[in-house]
Amino acid sequence: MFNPMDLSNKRILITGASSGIGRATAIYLSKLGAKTVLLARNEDRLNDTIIQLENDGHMYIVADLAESEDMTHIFDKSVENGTKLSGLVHSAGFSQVIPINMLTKDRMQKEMNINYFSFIELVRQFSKKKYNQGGSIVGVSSIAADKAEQCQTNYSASKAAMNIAAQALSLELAKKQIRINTVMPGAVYTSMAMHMEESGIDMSEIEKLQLLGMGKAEQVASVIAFLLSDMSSFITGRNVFADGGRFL
Amino acid sequence: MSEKEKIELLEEMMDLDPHSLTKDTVLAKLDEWDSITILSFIVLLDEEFNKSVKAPEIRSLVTIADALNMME
Repeated sequence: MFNPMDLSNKRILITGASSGIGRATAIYLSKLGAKTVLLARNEDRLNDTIIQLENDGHMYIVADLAESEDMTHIFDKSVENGTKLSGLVHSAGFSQVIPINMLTKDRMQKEMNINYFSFIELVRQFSKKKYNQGGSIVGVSSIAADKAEQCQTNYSASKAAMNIAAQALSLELAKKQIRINTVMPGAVYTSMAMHMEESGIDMSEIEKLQLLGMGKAEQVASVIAFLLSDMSSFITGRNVFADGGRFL
Repeated sequence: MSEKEKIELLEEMMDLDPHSLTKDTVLAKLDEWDSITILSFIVLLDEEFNKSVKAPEIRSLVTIADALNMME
């Protein structure tokens, strides 16, 4: 049967796989046949993810991206069984709600480290011939890169940086048969959204702005799966909205 | 830095397998020797050798030996 969404035997590295969109993506990709390499800081939560995956051949790596300037060791471990990677999903993210009078360089650094600098380092490593067999990279950006909320100056900037970086990187990576795109989720039910609610962002107001209401992590995971699959083989350097139709 | 180490730096920069370059390798015959690699070489010369070199100078190089001469 013709199934261009089939990811059988494709090895895909997923950061932020212990919760939210990262976890939902790992589960979704496993259902499509992918062999996943899960990466996050918390081993217990990674185990919670891995027991929910379908099929076998998955593995996890415990690592803190904020502490990893050189990620060679992560990629060495990812391919140690002899199979190179076909995909990379950067879903690890960090969000702060900070007014401008409190927005110091130190506070911005952590968010930039995880959301943007880690993304670039992951792409730098993935693009080495010894780690990939061509493939597709997906960065989980945010609707905040297009429609910013108050006190999200740095978060929005970090996600907008991912978006434009994907376009710039697509120019270099095409020659290596690597596509790169970002997905821009709107508000979805995740622990990060709950954290933003607690930090003063009114999620019920945001929900009203999305024509399809609040989303689920699986609805973003399916877009990521599409961007990893052969169905999107003519798409690179783009930022794909998965925001339930938010125009205000 | 030894000549061997410099060649290893060039191999890493071009994402080539170890021992794939020799002093006689002709740059124009390498698929990896493109405009992006020339920019990478500018950064490498700046970071590792504290040298500021412009792209036209690098484009005029013929062999790996020429590149090694710049790496001083």
